[in-house]
Amino acid sequence: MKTVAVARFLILVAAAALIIVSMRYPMWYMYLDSNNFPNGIGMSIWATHPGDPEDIAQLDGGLKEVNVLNHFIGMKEISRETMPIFRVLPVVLMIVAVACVVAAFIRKKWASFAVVILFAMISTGGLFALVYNLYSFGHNLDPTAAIKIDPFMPGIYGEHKLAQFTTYSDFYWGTYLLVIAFLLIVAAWVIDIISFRRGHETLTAPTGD
Amino acid sequence: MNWKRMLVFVGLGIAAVAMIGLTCDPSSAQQRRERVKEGAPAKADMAENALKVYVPPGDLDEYYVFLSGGHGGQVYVYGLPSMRHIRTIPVFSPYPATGYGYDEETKKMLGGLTWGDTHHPGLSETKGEYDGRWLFINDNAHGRVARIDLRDFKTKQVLGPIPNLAGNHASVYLTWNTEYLFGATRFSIPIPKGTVADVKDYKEKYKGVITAIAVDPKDGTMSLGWQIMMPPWNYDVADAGKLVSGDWWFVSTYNTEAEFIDGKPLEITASQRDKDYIIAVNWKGVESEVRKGNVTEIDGAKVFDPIKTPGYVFAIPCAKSPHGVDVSPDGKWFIGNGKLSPTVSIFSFEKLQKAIQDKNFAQHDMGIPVVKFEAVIEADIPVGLGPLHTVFDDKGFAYTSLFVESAVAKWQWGGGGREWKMVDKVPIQYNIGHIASCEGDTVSPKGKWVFALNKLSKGTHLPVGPDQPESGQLIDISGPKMKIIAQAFPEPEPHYAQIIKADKIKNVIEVYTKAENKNPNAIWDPKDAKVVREGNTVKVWMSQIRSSIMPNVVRCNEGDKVIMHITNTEEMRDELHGFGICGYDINGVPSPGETLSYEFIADKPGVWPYYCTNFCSALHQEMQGYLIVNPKK
Repeated sequence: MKTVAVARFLILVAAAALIIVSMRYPMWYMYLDSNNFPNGIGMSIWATHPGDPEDIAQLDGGLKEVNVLNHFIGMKEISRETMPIFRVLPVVLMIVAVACVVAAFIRKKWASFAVVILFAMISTGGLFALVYNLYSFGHNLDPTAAIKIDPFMPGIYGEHKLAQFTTYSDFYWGTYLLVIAFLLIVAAWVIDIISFRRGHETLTAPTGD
Repeated sequence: MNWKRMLVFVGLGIAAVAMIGLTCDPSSAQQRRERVKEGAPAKADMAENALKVYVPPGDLDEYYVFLSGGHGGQVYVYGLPSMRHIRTIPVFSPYPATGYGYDEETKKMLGGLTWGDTHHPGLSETKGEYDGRWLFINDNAHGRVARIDLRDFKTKQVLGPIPNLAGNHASVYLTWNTEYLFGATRFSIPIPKGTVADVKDYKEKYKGVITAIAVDPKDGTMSLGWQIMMPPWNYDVADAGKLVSGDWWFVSTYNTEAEFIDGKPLEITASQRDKDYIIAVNWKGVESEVRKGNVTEIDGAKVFDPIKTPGYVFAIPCAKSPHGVDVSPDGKWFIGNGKLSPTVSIFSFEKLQKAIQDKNFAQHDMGIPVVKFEAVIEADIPVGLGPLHTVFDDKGFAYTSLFVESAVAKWQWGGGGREWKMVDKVPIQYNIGHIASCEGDTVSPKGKWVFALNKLSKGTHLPVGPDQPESGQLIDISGPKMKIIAQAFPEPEPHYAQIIKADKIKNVIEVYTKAENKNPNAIWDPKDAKVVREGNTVKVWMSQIRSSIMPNVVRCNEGDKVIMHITNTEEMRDELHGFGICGYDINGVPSPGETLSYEFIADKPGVWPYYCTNFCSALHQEMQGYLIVNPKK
C-alpha cells in the first residue's frame, strides 16, 4: 500500500535527521554540589566534545573548573584531545544516519532490520565506551598528584558521593533523541515485518495504477 | 615638726589621694557611656530594632552605600541596613590588598602621588535618577577626579591634577543627566599653578576657578571641559540643579572677605561677615559662551570670565559661612546650611530667576552681581547649631546634620500651603558632618534610612588607642520619630556617601572573560608561559591557575630590566591570585581573567622567591617560584 511505503520512508528519514540533530545537544551531564560551590559546578558530554551544561549561567563553574579540581587528584584533562571517543562517535553516528537514509530507499526485507542491528551495536558500544572512559579516567590517576585518593568510578546515573562532592548524573536530549531515533527505526522494521507478511507487492514501488 | 603641721600634711595627702581616686573612678567613664545611651531604646524595642538591621548570612543587603575614604584616598562599599563593610575600592592611594598602584596601568593612573583626599562621591544620573553605571569622586588634595566603573567596581580613570584648581572640595556634584561633573577651588592660589604671589596681594593676585569636567555619555570618559574664573573666595560644597533648575549649578562660599593675613588665623579672617554667598551658575549658558569661543586659555584650560560676560554667574547672600547647599528633589528650591548660623535658608529658584530678570541686585562684589537676599529667600528654619548638610525623604521631610550640636534635625518641607517647621531632633555620637539618605539627592528619594557620617566616635567602641575610627550611625526614618538603631566604625574618613538601591547596579561581573581581555600580553595556557631576553630586558609571560605560577623560575642578571605580564587564567569567581616578590616592591592581585604588567630593575642580586599572596586553594602554599638575579661579574 502506498501510504505505508511513504510512512516507512519518512520514518527512516526522520530517524536520520534526529541522529544528526542529537549531536547538537549534550548526551549526558554531571553536576557536582558541595558547600563551597553554592550553585554547583557541572560538565556535559556531547557526541562531539565535552563541555559546559546548558544552564552554565546559573552555575559556579563548568568543565574548566571540573578539570582544575581534577588536576589536584591527578586525573587527566577531560577534553576533545584526550578522549578519542569524540573523534569516533560523530563519524559512527553519521554512518548510522546515512544507513537510515539508504534503508529508506532500499525496500528490502533486511534493510531496516540491518539498521536496527547496526544502531543497537553502536549504542551498546557507545555506552560501553563512555563507561570505560569514566572508569579509566577515575582509575588512571597520576601517581605524582598532590592529593592521593583511591581510584573511583564516577557515577553514570543518579546521585553519588565523592570526597566533599555529591554528584548527580543523568542523560540528556542528545541521548533522548537517539533513543527516539532508535524507536523510529524499530517502528520501520515492524512496518516491514507486517507488510512483508501481508505480501511482498505492497512494498514495491507504486505501479502507477 | 609639730603635730599640727603634720596633720595638715596628712590631710593634704588624703585629699590628693581622694582627688586621684575621683578622677580615676571608673564609674565616671561609665556615666559618660550611660549618657551616650540616653535616648537609646528600651530593652523591648531593641529586638525590634535588631531585626530591622539583621541580614542573615546568605541574604543580601537592600542598599549599597558608597562612602568616601577621605585622606585614605579610597571608597568604601557598605551594605544597608546591615552596616557591613563589604569592599574597599582604591582610587587615589596604592592598596596592596588588591594590588592597586603597583602594576604599570594603575601606577600610571596615580601619577606618582601616593595619596588623595576623597570627599564627595557622585553616582551617574539619567533624568535625575541614579542609573547605576559609574561612581565619580573628587580628590580635594591634588585637584583630581576619578571614575569607578560599577560593572567591576574598579577605578578606570583619574583625571588631573586639573590646571588652575587648588583644593578641589566642591566636587563632583554632577549634573542631573551626567553631562558634567564639577570641581571648584577651596584654596585660592595665584594662577596658573606655579605662579608665586605673596598673600599680601591675596585679593588681587589669587583666584578661584569653577571647573566643568565633561563626561562621555557612552563610556564615561572624563575630559576637561572649561573653567570659570572666580574671585579668591573659598568654594565649599555644591549641588547641581534638577528638573526646572537642571541648567544650574550651586556652590557655597566662605571667606568672601577675600583675605588671607600672615599670622592671623583664617577662622577669624573668614568669619567677619554676617553673610557669605551661594553662587548660582547657569552652566548651560556658560557652555554656549565657551562654544562661541568666549574664553581665555590659561595653562591649557578654556577659562570663561563672568565679569567680562555677565548674565551667567550670580551670588546669593546666605548666613554665615554656609557649608552645604542642597537642591530639593523637585528642583524648585535650594537650601543653604548656615554652619555658623543656627538656621537653614530656603531659597526659591523661581524667585532667583525673577530677580535676575529684573536685575534686582544689591551690589556687585568683586565683579559678581549679588542678588538681593529678600528677593529670593523663602523661609529660614531654626534647626539648631552648626547645620552642615540637608537630605530628603519620600514623605516631604528634610534632615539636616548639626555638627556643633551633634544632632540630626528633621523638618517639614513647606510651600504650597504646607508649613515650614521643625518636627524632630535626635542626638548622634558625635559631631555629624555629612548626612545621606536613600537616593536622597535624586529626583525621587526613597526614605527609610538616614546615614549619619560622624566625625568623632570618642570611645563609643572597644578601646583601640588614640587613633580612633570614625562613626557612622543608621537612623530609622520610617516612623514619625527618628530612631538611631545601628552604628559602624568606618576607617578615616568618610565625608559623604551615596546610597543606591542594590538592584539598580546591574550586570556586575565576577570574571573577565577571554573575549573581554584584549590585552595583547594575555596568555591562557601555562604551556604558553615563557621568558624572553631582549638585550638587557627580560620579558616574562606568566600564568596563574590553581595552584601554580608558570614559569616558576625566572633568571636574569643584576641590572636587567624585568617586564612581567601576569594573567590569572581562572574562570571561576573569587579565584584571585596574588603575586608578590620577596625583597622587591612588587605586589599584584590579578582578578580571574585579568592580565597585569609590572616593570622593575633587578638591582638586588640573589634568589628572591615569588608567590601567590591571595589564598586560593588547598595547595596555595605551594604556589611559588624563584627570581634568580645573577650578580654582575
